[in-house]
Amino acid sequence: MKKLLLLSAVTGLTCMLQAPASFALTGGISAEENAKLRAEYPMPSAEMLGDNCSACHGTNGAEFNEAMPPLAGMDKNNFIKLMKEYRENKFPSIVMHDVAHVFSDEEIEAMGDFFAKQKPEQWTRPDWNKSIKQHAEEHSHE
Amino acid sequence: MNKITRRDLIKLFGTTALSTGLMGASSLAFASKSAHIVIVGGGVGGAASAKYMRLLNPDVRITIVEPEPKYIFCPGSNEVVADFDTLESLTVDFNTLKSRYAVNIIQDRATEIDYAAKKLKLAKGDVLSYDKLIVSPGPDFKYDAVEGFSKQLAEGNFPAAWHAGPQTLVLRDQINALPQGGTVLITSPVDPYRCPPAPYERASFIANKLKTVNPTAKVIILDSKDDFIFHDVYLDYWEKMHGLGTPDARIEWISKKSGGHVTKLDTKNRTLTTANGQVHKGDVINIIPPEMAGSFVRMNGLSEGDWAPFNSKDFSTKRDKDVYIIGDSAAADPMPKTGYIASNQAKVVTKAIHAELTGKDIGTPFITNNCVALAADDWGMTVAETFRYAGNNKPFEESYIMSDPTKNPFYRHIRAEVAKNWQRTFRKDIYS
Amino acid sequence: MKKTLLISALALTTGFTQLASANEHAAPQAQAWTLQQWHQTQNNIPNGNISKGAELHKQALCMTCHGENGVAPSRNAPSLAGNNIDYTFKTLKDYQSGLRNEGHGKSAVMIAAAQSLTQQDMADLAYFYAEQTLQSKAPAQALSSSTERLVRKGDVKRMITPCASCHGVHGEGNEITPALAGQTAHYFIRTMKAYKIKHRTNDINQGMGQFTHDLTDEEIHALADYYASLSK
Repeated sequence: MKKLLLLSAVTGLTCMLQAPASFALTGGISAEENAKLRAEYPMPSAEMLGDNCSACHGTNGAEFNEAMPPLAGMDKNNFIKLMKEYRENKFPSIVMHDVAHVFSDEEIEAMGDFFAKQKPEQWTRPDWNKSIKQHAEEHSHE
Repeated sequence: MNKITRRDLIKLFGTTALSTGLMGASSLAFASKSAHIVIVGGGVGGAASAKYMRLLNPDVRITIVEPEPKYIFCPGSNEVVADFDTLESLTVDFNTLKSRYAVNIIQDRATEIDYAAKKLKLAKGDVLSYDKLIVSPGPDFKYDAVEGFSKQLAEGNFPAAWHAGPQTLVLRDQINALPQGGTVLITSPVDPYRCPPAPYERASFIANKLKTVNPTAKVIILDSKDDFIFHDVYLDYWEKMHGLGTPDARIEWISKKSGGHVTKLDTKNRTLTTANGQVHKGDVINIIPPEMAGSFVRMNGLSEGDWAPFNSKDFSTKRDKDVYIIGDSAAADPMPKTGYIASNQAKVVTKAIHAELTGKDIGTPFITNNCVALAADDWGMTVAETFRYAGNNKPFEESYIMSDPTKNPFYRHIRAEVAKNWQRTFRKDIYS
Repeated sequence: MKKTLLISALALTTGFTQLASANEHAAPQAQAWTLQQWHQTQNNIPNGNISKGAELHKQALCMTCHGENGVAPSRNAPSLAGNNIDYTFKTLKDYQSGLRNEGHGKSAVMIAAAQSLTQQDMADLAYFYAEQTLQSKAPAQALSSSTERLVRKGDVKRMITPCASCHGVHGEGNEITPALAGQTAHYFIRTMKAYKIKHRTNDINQGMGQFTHDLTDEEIHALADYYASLSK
């Protein structure tokens, strides 16, 4: 990872702690350079963008049994509104601002379309790893 | 492609796969002239390639060549070293890939690519014809970077424990048996290596455990670098929890410029010698060796230097347009070597292959790496990285935001749970 | 308050590190409430400060899952808007003690989040959510006769008391009995099933485990749709 570290204030916690704002370490290319690359090449497909979410939100955004919310079948406008709020850091978030800050309106809309079209059904089946002794994982339930 | 007989098919796929193809995959489709996608390696990159290929295309034949009968995830294995999780909970089988996605798994080791004939030779003598070959075998270790260290020692009393497995358990048992007031030495390699924060997470977990069971014991990290990811968070944590910087510190980090780079192991006296001649004695010695592309990659002329270069548009190798390289063996800097990255590279490759098979354009690749690490069970941190395409012959361009040593306890508590959540979800995204 | 919060948060962090593990149900196990203990606690709930609660809703990262003003933006999270002060306060206490622990995943996040909350923080949050309104996002339901019977009359044969007798005629709840009006249907279903298989047991006397014991999935789904269609 490039060591182009900038300190940027992300959230204000002053009301709670009277301490300096919380800082995050930010680096790599700037927002302007991001926009330039977006302009230079065609927009990645909705599937290309959406599939990047599956490691956390499940295949096609259809993981319903974990804390990270499922995206499959999510109302498109709700998705777009939230992603833009995360991007603009309207309120503190666990990780979603850090994820969303690079996306254009068009990319967010494409992802919103993609997830709205997915079936809101748990992707993983209960017996998916049954040859290995089942542990607490499967005790999580809808 | 070569003609495949019914007998060949049964040999390749077994009767189960022939009869239970899902997602539209059927024995008919296999028997027709559908393309054969062969994947070297059943780890995260390979398994994700198989699954996401099938999600795109019901007709292609998909074969994974993997020497092991199951896969153990590395994310979560530091928890096993510190004895608060088990290897079992990190282990997955290939049954869902077979039954739900009609993927053929051959338990063998791939040895040689015949580029001209588009064939892959396996150790036991089988030869597979491929239309597209995805290579994702994981990294190999440079044991000889530390004089006196070897693969045999790593498999014996000096576990590297950098692939989750038997060595993880040996290291766990050694920590459990550490004499009161003993010393654990951990070496941290030069970049790039698998999972950049993991040596520091491991050191933290071990120190946390020792704090309760062996409070006068000590962990020393001997580093071949002067900086590492989440440096500020870990140093803050070690100061708060383990007295970093005090004479009684339970954890010590020696950077390269302070003489941390280890050059020599003496097994008899259980010492490590560093580049500036300092000698450290350890009751437990955990050498995490530097890495290079897996031997399959190097033996088949796919690597230049330590890693395999590729075309950024579709991860096809510079050597052959029908052979793709993903995961830790790829020369993918600035992308870190993580499972998250390997899985997203797999999604790009499979889209590229599907586009080519259906006569469409691949489009613009896009990759994220949203990784988590822990300092303790309730102390988590995150990094969100995005990699944008910047041309076929150029590296991807990175943007990132990572956690700082926040004063807001809600962040570190919740991020720790998100980290555990992610491990479970990730395993399911690849293997379920 | 500010300095104290930081210090107590750090103290808790240290303690929690020792206790917790990656395994399910590994959070500190707490004793179930007796009614007497609860009444004592209830009488000592601090007066909440709504504007501090609003700020904490953001800074403690509640909003990122439970949405603006406590109206849930996803099917995973419950809406907190409009719920009763006592219920929210007790729920946070139960997460902090580990009494409410429905397995890893969602509960684990809440147990982690609750570790750093003071009694005053919990009261501030509870007062803030009680002040918000929850508009139903689901279409109005024509109540089927069987669902209406469960809500208004219960089922004596199956020892199911009517929902309305504790949760109110309009699903408005009362003290530690939560409001159900407008609640996220998926959260409602998940919760009822957790009660049914005794993964959730933090209610006093564990009545919900009994009432849900013989409910069918269809009945639970119908109740979820009905309550989601109400507003609070």
